[in-house]
Amino acid sequence: MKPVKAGNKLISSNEMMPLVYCATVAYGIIVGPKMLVEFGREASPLLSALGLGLAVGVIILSVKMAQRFPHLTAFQWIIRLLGPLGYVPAVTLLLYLLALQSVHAYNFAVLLQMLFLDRTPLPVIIVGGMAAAFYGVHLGIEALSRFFRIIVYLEYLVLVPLLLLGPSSFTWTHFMPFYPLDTRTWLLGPLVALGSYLGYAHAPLGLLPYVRDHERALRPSLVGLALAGLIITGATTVTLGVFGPETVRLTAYPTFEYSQVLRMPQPLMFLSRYSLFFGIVWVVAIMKLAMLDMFISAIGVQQIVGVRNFKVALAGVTLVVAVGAMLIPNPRVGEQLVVNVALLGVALSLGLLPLLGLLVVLLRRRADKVAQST
Amino acid sequence: MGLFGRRRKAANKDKEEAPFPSGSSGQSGPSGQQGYQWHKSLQDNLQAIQDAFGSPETIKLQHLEVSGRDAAVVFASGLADLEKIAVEIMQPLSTWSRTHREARPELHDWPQGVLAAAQTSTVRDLSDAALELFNGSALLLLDGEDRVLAVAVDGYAKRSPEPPRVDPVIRGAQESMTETLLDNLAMVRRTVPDRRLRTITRRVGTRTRTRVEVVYLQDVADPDLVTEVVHRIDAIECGGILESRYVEERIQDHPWSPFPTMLDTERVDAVAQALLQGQVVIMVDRTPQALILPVTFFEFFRSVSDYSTPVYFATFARWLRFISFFLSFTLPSLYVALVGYHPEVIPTKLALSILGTRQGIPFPAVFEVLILDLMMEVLREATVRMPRNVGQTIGVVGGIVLGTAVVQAGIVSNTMLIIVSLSAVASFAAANFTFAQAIRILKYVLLVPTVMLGLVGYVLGLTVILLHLCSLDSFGVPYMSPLAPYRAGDIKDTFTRVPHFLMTRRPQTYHPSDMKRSAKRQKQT
Amino acid sequence: MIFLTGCWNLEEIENRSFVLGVGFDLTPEGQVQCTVQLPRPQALNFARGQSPVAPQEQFSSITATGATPWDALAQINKITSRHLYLGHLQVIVVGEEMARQGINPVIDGLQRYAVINRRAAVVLARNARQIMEAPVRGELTPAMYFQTFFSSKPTPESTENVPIWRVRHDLLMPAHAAHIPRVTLADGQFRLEGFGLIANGRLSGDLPGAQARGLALARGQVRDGSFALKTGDRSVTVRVQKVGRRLTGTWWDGGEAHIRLSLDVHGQIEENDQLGLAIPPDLYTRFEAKLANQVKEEAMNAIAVAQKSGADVFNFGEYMRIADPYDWNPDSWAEKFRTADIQVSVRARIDRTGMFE
Repeated sequence: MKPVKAGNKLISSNEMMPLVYCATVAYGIIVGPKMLVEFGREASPLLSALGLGLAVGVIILSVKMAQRFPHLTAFQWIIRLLGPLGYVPAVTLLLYLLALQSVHAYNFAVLLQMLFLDRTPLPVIIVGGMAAAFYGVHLGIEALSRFFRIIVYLEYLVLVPLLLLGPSSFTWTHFMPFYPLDTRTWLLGPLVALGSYLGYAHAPLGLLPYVRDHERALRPSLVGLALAGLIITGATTVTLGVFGPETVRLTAYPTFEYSQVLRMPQPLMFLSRYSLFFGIVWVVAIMKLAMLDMFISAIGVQQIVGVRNFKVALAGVTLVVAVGAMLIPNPRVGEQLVVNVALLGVALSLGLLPLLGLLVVLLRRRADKVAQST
Repeated sequence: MGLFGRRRKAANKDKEEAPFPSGSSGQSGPSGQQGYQWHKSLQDNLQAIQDAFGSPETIKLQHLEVSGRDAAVVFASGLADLEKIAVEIMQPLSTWSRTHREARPELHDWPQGVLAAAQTSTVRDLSDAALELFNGSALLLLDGEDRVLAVAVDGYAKRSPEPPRVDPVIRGAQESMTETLLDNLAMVRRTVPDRRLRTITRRVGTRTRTRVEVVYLQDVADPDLVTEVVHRIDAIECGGILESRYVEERIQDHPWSPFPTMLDTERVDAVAQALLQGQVVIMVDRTPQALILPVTFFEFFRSVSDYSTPVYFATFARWLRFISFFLSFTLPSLYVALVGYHPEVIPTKLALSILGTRQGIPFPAVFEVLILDLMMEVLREATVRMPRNVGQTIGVVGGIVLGTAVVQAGIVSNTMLIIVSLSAVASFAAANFTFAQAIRILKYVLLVPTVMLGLVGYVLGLTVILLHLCSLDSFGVPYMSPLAPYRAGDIKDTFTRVPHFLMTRRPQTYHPSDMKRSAKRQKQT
Repeated sequence: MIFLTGCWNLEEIENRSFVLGVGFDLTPEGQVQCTVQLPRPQALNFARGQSPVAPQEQFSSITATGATPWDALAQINKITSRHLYLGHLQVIVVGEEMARQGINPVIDGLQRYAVINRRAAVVLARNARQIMEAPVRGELTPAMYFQTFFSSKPTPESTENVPIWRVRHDLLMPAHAAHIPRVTLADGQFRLEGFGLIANGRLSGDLPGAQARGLALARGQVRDGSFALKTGDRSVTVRVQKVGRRLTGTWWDGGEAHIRLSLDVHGQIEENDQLGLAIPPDLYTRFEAKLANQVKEEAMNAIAVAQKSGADVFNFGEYMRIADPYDWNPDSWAEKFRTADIQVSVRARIDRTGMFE
């Protein structure tokens, strides 16, 4: 395979579909339904749909922004556009990504420990997961995109039937009234939904330089988002229907809980519980997230710090993330850090990115010149 | 390409030469001596030959006189057919000699219609002489000429086509290829008598000078692919090529990966089908197995028999193969993960039954798996090495008796026996034998993370394997096509076998030059 | 690396003690007495061709006492040679006294870990230990009786499967009310009939035996109920297979809740007391009226009992919430339910007569 360097047109635009899908669903399915049902209560399916609409807008914006500089990653064009001053936002983005990964690595390891491996030490889980992710990322973006595509098919094959079995256990009163009751929910609800989708809208920003026909990257990205949205909305609806807002509020992982209480028609009950499938989906989702993040941060390290070899940059990132994850002392601190990092993410999305967008518009001539270079 | 990638060695060195210098025999190998000159004197030439070959018993010499000039026929007994020598060389020459008493013959007089031989060629040097002699040709030397003629009179023992031992079919041709490359090529040409079927000959191996043919359909196969294949073959530097695997491992893209990136087959119809799809076939002399490339992962689940069995059954058989493949390398690990780590997933009654059967078993589940599996592998190896008549007994004794006894003695539980046997049998249901062997190792590889981290380890292991599969390429074709990257047209022959009348286009995966399978009869040009 | 690591969570299946049933009682001193039912592994070894064992030898039961349910389980762990494993828990029996004090610790504690089976059936009994120790025939172990009972037939009329996850769900709803099936031991057999009503986590009402059917009717869940109807000198038995429940009216009026429930009963004739005589149409209508009356009576009775104990097990609270979501106050519903004006109207149809006229 060709070396992983921005400007190396390695994948076709169709591969944006699995990339965006995996980026979105990975975070969305673990965190999304609980967040939404807790906040939106009976209106969560509606809010989820609205959030999806907002996410479409965000994806369009980020793809357009990335298409402005089709041969450069965000790190590169920020630095070239703003000169030495550009290092500030670029390094901020990189540090945010690294912090995000550490926090995620810790929290997801805690999740796995809680659900499956309660006596296994956390560092073992963290190291195991990161080693597998390292292997995946070092193979390059082509292998990753093919892997993600296969995962799209497999996930749909597994999740859709399991979600469709939900309605037999529904309590239909959980869904009514289906609209939010106060303005606060109307306004913040879609944003909360967006939070579970938006987490990875920056995927196009990081990956467009690898896409051959980048002009056609928008449609597959939207298809990927729609597919992911279907799954997340479906999971939200099912969680709400089976458990209701009160129970979800007090349950740590309601979607997983759903897989444990799921009842199949008698002839099909070949397993005692279907948490096996959801467990597999969970682990794969965590891996997807880790790999995408590691890939983008390794590119960032390569391009900001100037490391020539991608694998060395990747090894550095893996080490930093793993050590960072193992430094977190306990799950309470971990949860607090998630909130902090999420707030930072929101600040960056609502503050830094629009600012950059504005600068791109204002410094038009300079931007054009940067766009030409590779 | 990652850890298992391969760099192309010496790919550019032959670029300046004209592509594919054609030749019927003995050319463009790396072993030709430059500028060897035969002597004019017959004695000197014969002496040179004797010195070079060390006068072995098998090299025979027949002197004759042709119109006053000394001549000699050198041949290898057992390889050349004595009758053909007599009929095609000796007799015509003596007849000619009688009618041309005064002529001063020259070597070039005879190939043109005097010799009854169908094939003659010039021998350049001593190593060429060796090649010709040991391929059954007779060397004709004439005193006063500094050229040597090789006449094809081969009559060595060869096997006639038999039904294929691996991948036999009920309906369809029962011919498989033999060790003789020329015969194999002949069978392929009979199946695809298209004038655009091209072959490129190479001789590989300094000692064995094994003839390797690269076969392809000129207007269908991707020309870049063919160029690449020939370049890689040219870059092979080794002493001997004894089997197609020797070639395969030296030219494949991912030598360290357990998954093969070339398909081996001994069936003529499989080769023909590959050619028609735009793939390239490498045939190696002395090996019945030809190599088909490029291949995808899904190619190993296709069997030629699929195309001659009814559609629904063929589709069902394909799905069986996929499931068997998956079961064969995941079942033991899944068992360990579920029974050792997460028994809550297993139905209650089954879990209690397993609990019951495991009472009194001294070993932990992992050891049980390893013991049984290794026992199975030992049995398998033993039956392969045994002579045919004894092998059956070993199979029965080992499989049935040992298996039952080991359960009754309480060393392993019978659930585990079922799991391991099922996994072993399933590994052979995947269509290709080499593929099945390759993936046997995966079973143990997957066991390691499963034992450490249970279901999480199992999934991580599977993820790593899937990632590895996604990183593989076979001569530029992604290994997981047509699933990833998605090729809509090819899907219909991957998971299903659609009726022949729907298969109107060639698989896009192999980038054929001509996408449409010829539907109408071509005008013969 | 395998030798360096410890495979911490790997536990051989034979080193786990499968807890199939657990029962909690309250001792007079206020402690929690826990009884677990464990299968005897030797009895499970069908493969070796051993003869089937007597019911009392199929399982063993162990009892221990602790301050809380989980504490009691921990005490049992000190007794058993193998590690207690709750992944295949089939049934949780709660003693009456324990239920009166509060079932929240049981419901909460037995679901915190992901391993524990959320589909374990919760049942109420006078004495949980007695149920756990009873050598009832017919199943692999007596604890399996409950899951098989609920999964192998259509829902019987006076009982219902309430898995522990559903109990928790119901208790977390605004009404904080759940219903749990009752089990009694009679003549060496289990008898699942009747419900206990839980309000605010405590046992506060009882619907024994035949009255329990009213609860199922009011919830619209009867799948297989038999009604013996008599009018004049004719009597028939009607089997009710479907009850459609609709709330035709829910409104608030000055802080008082009004609920109008409509039940649509469909039945078929099961038995006719007189062999030779067909049933004329006017008699049909009279039987239907009788059926409607009987259904209404039972349903109203069940609702009355529930109202008295303040346990809204019919999900009426949710409908009242939907009727006026803006002014909904979840904490007051338990009280409001006691004084709610609930009326039931029933329409009965006898659809089919079987193979005979």
